[in-house]
Amino acid sequence: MRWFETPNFDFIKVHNYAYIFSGILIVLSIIGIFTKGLQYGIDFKGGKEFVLEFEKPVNVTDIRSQLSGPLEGTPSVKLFGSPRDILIRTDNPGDITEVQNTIMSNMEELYSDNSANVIKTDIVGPRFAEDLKEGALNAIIFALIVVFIYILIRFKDWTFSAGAVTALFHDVLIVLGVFTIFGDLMPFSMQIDQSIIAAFLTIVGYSLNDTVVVFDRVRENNLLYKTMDYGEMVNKSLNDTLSRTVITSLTTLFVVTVLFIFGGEVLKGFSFALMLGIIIGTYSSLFVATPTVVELQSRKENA
Amino acid sequence: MKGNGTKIGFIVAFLAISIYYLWPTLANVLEQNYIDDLPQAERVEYRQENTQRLQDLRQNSLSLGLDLQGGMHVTLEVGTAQFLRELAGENADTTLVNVIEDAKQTALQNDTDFIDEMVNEFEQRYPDGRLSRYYRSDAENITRRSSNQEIQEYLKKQRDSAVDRAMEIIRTRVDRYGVTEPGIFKQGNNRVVVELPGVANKERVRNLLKGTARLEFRLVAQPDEISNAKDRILSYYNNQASSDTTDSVQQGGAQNPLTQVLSTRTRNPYVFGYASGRDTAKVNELLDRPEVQNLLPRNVVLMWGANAFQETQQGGEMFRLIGVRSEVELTGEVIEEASVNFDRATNQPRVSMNMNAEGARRWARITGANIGKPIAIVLDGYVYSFPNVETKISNGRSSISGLESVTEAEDLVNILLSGALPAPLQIIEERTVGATLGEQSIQAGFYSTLIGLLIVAIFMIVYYRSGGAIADLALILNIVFILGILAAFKATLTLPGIAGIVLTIGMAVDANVLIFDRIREEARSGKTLRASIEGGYSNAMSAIMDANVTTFFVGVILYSFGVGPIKGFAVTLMAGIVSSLFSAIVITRVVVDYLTRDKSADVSFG
Repeated sequence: MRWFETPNFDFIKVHNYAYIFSGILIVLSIIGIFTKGLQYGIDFKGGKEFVLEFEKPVNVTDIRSQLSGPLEGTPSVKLFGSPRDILIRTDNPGDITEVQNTIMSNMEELYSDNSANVIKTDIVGPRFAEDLKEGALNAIIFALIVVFIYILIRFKDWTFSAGAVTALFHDVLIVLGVFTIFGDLMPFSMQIDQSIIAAFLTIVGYSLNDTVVVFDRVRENNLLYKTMDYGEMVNKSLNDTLSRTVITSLTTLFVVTVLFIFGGEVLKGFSFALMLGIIIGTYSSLFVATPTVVELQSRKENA
Repeated sequence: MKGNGTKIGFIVAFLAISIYYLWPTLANVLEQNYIDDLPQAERVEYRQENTQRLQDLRQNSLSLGLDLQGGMHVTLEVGTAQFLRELAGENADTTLVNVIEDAKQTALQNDTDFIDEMVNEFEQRYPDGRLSRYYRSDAENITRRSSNQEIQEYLKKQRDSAVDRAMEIIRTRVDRYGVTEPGIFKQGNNRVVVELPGVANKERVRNLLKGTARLEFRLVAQPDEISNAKDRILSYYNNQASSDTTDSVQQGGAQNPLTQVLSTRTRNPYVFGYASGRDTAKVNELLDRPEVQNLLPRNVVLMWGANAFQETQQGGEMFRLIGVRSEVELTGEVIEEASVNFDRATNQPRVSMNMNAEGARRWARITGANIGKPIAIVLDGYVYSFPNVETKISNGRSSISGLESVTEAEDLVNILLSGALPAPLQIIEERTVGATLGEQSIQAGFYSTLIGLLIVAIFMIVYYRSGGAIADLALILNIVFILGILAAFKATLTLPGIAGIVLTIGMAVDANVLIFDRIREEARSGKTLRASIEGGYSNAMSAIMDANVTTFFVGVILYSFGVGPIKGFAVTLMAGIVSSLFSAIVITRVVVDYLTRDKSADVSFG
């Protein structure tokens, strides 16, 4: 089977449309992030989370109103995968054991014939959360710097570094925007926690993978077709590697989708971020990273 | 074909090493299945006969993270501020306390070392001041003449050893509690991470970990001191309530805020009052105000009883507030032996203690001087009991009663015997996963891996024909290698780790996709199959390397910044990159070369 045997799409020509499209997505993401604020999960905000498994399905609203009084402040109550599993998150600063006992005694009161079991707890102190947040931020910044430097060394041209890092910002920002704006609509947790940061860094690695393969071909073709117009040569490189870009994206998307469907509730947010990231990452290496390089190159020559 | 001998040698060697390291894991799984199939009666017997062998197998198996096998992960922080205050002992004054408080804030804000900040803060405030005013140690040669820098080093050393000691004590406690294969590590300079697989009773473990077990014997305040102080404090709040006119208008009459939460009419003359469990925080708040504290005699403090002394009709628990002396007569350091037994009169569990010679001597003096008066037995700031001294006790015996259950008594013995923590510990992170959820996660991970592998394998064969089949072979070996690497490095497999393996399955074929696409391209330009293969492999190399090196960097960064399960993801990601490079480049090459050894042979790349 052969797809994109000898494709001849004009990526560089359509890059203006791509810029507009990406621009809209980025602006929407930024507006979303600034108006709603990043939806931090327990790792970065601190608090107490309990996952309760009941014998029979339960009602989320009932649980929320039952717990609002005793926990002093409305807790966040969500389904955790199945209608029998409930995730309760509270900012109540009290002792862990006491908070858990309060929840359990109230659940007994609410569902006397439907007993509950605590199957998972996460308690993160505010200071520890602060440390985790700092670590995550450092990791992302550090990753971007390392990527910039590696590409600079390998391709000996800052425009390539700039193109790659632009695409990475683009990918992470849009995924972050989607998570912020649509976080409440999804039936699974889309709050930003450690595993989402891990997903972001994987997206960075993955998107880079795609971009680097194209850049590598650009470097090769640049030596082969010295007389060709730079934009045309880059476009040829994109077409040369298109089949590989699509196939690898597909196989990776397959496995990540499998993970999303079969990987269990704990991995839902993580694998969803990866799914989004792979789609956006593939798009950005074709329509953002490489055209940016062409643009920067022509400016460099004209300057 | 040349040089393939070495390649084959490498492949066989890696495969052998992987299988060698994975063997215990496989044997362990088979063994467990075998045991599960045995009839109930034979299971115990079989386990007993093979204890050593089964234990060895388990220890050499690929270990599962707490998120997969269920258990408890706790991060504890050593209270450095309090430690520094206590290290200064009697020399500590308000100056030092203020410096420590401020340093605590700055260290938090700037994320710097607490002790560095403290020395900075002190030197900024008192340019000529000397920390040797507060800290002395003959053993460490810290004298009045020691410079601030020497003290700084001394304090850091003391803190490190305090954390080390805390770790040792935690280890003893955990071992006595009976957890198989616990993990206890130091994190940063004042944190201890405790990993306890398969722990079910979280509450018990929490108390066990942070229990400082500061056992104190204190005299109880005089009845008239308590009742006088009570009168003064009550009238203080009465005055405040009547002067607060806005409140009285709304509530239709002045209310004493303290009597609303604390009943002050008590039969026992040593009891200041009693309150229900949920009101104790409110009472503390009202009594902690400096102007109220001033109404208490200087040498009297109020402490809550550890356990409820009665229940209300509604089932609420009532706790007593007892007036005790602020001086500590004797501490738990003198305890040599402790054991659980039962009070003959009440049949309640209690902890009997034996003191060392020095303790027994002092205990005899204290009890002898206070016959007919109560002595409070205080543990971690709560009064467990305050029995009347009947006779002088000269054999160094004492006991703690008022315990809720035998388990509480057992844990208390454990804590007392493993020694008091050098500084209080605070739980700043706690994560627990139930065993069933862990099992579900293992299953979910297993199925994801299987389904992911199947989809990618089928896709590769459909798209690249025999080339795809070769890549699939490499893919399967790849998974064996990843697991082998994890087992060899004694890494822990976590749920995100499994996600990393699934992701690797999708990305591992990338190298082969690059190579095969390149081979097709070369073939289109009219080269022979052999030449195309040669060109495909060599030309795709630089792209493969670049792409994988960058992803590997990301793995390294994730590993160094991530915590717990995320580290597991980073490890499998890195292991995946290394092994997929090897299998995609070396293994497929050997197979492709073998299949095309005859000039006429044909291998389809789709």
